[in-house]
Amino acid sequence: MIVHTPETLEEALQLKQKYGSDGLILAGGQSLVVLLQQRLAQPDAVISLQRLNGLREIRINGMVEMGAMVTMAQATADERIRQVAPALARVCGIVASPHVRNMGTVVGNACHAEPGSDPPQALLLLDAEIRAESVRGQRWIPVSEFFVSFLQSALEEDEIATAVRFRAQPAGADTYIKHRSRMMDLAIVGIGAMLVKEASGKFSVRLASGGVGPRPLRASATESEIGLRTPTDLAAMAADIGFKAAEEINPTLSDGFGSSGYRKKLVQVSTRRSLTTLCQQFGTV
Amino acid sequence: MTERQRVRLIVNGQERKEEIPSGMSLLDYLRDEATLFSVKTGCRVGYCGACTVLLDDLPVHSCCLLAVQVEGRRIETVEGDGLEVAACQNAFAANNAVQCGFCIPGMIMSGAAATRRHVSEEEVRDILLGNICRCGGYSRIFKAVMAANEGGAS
Repeated sequence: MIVHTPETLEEALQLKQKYGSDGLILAGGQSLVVLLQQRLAQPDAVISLQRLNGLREIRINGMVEMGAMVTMAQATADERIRQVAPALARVCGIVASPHVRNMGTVVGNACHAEPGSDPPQALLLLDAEIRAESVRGQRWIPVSEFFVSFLQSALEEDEIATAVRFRAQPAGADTYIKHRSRMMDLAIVGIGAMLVKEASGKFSVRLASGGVGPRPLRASATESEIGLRTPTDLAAMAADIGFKAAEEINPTLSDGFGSSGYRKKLVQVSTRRSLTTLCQQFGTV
Repeated sequence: MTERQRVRLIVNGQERKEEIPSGMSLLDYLRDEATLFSVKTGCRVGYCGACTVLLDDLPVHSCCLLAVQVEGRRIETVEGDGLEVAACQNAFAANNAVQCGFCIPGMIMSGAAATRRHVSEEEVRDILLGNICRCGGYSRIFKAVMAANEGGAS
């Protein structure tokens, strides 16, 4: 195995095209280096993005754009991100331990597509898009299509994810509930919820869950069924919404940490609790 | 066949240039090439924190990094002469925070990172999340790091 450290993005893209699926991209390394050490991944080449300093930038210009080398620690600490995307800053702050967050990147985490991961839920709530670049050109992939299956993203063999972008979080509130057996673990189930204040003054709801199956999901049908509501209405409907979201998400993942039935219950209860907490922020009891 | 690559790192203030296997982790580099045995091999999956070192002042798990990945950057271990490392060492001794000792170099580096930035009590707890102590000596370790953090170590 050889580690390439290209100086330019063009060089990186050419290397990726040359190696295809035998060349793996290294951003922070918090997932990839572990896989290499355990020989679960045995690529011909690793293409490290460490020299591409342009990918370390956070740009806010109508949209928020974070390069692929922006770490979770940066996303949590950056004042601008805390302002324009509190949901993402919050979620990035509870991943594993500070040691992991100091190196692990938001985009790299998404590319790893681990179902028990937390940042994808925030990206889903923000309707983010991930930029896939190759020598053929670039495209933006909505995160709802980016996560394909267990450890599998929508990137083609010659593509490198170079950034994530999203609109500033709309007025409202958000919360994230993570169930884990130990503080540093992946989520057994992670539920992100967001209230969005619409022009009418009423709120719409966004719900995202991870750890429920091969990929993280939005409860889109439940969201549109709820429609626009006042916080008082939502607080009254919270239990019902919990049931509906759990039915819609219907977790399939079953492992040593919990059966799919247990996860379904977690989705139901956490959704209810999230809504109750969020509604309280708007003065309902 | 394993490729070899040249790497330049600044370890404890000294520049080192070596030719190492491409896939070598920073942990293996520090132990096998730089002979810094304070850096312990624990879980090798970024969980236990025994291999914690400072990378440009930030605590990281050296088992989860390739040595070539941190080319040109500053690495600090217990062997270095960091003031905060010394403060933590003294505080750990003063607070009887060491039991079997295996996790301690990692704990000290995490503690040094906290001390260097004078973080809040909550952040000290957060930083120490990255280190596991099999003896379960957390409360004394936490006390020691807080003592170093408040400058009451010496």
